[in-house]
Amino acid sequence: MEMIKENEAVDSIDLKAAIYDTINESVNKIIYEGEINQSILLAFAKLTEQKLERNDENSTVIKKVFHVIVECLQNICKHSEEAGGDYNGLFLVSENASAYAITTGNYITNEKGDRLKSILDFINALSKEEIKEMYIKQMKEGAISDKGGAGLGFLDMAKKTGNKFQYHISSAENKKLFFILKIIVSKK
Amino acid sequence: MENLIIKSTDETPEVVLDANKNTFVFSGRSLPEDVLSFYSPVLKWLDVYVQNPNVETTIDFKLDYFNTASSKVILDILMKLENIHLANKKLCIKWHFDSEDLDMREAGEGYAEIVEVPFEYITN
Repeated sequence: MEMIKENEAVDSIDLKAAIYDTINESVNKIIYEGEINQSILLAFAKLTEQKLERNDENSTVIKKVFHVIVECLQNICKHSEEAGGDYNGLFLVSENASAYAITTGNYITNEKGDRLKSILDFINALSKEEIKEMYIKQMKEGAISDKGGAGLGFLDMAKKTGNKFQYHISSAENKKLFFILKIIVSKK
Repeated sequence: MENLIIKSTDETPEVVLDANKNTFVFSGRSLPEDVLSFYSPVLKWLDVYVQNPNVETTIDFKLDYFNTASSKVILDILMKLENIHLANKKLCIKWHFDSEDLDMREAGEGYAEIVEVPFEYITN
């Protein structure tokens, strides 16, 4: 099964296929399953930045990859904190000739699942200009003590990558859901 | 007014708020886990400063990266500084960015759209 192409909006990703793709077809990969906290995410962001610099990747692309890693992993940390317990997650970085893919996975609640589906489907349907407008609008409306802002983070990544979000939400044990998110950063 | 100087770390920028030397700089990266906790002293300092600002205030933003949570606080900072401009004292925001980093340039332009503050764009 070939790696999902950039700009292809898909409703679901087969988890096994996503992992096998990464292991078998990609180069310069990072595969991690375990605790995700601020120290660990900083280490991964730095590591990826250094790897890409050593490979002479375009500095703008490196910044975008760095940003996606930070935003996605910090979202997982924030959710883990709010949901109480379990700071575990899945984190994959892979690369092919035309793009980098950052994939994350973590357990979420049913309510969160509904919210994520709404936000991601909504943003995926927006044009480039609409994303920009919505971003400025949300920035203006944001309150000083707004700890949420998951919407703004996704808008920002959509704006910076110009690609659709690919995600899959499946049922997991303990009445939870497992959320997989894949974000593509195109090479120049 | 006492200075507020914070050294940079892996996840937080260097902050220099020195009213006597008329130097105000934010430089480095901003991606702390708890953005409000880091920036609260900065916001408090600015609240005091804008009540009696220098004749001319120039703020240098030399950030090479900031996460979305930080971007909100940066807007808060700019909105506090806006009061200086609205009180008819001179204010200028110098927004520095790497010449290839269009995202950073765009971020500055986005802020310039939202706040009524003069922006100057400077490439490295």
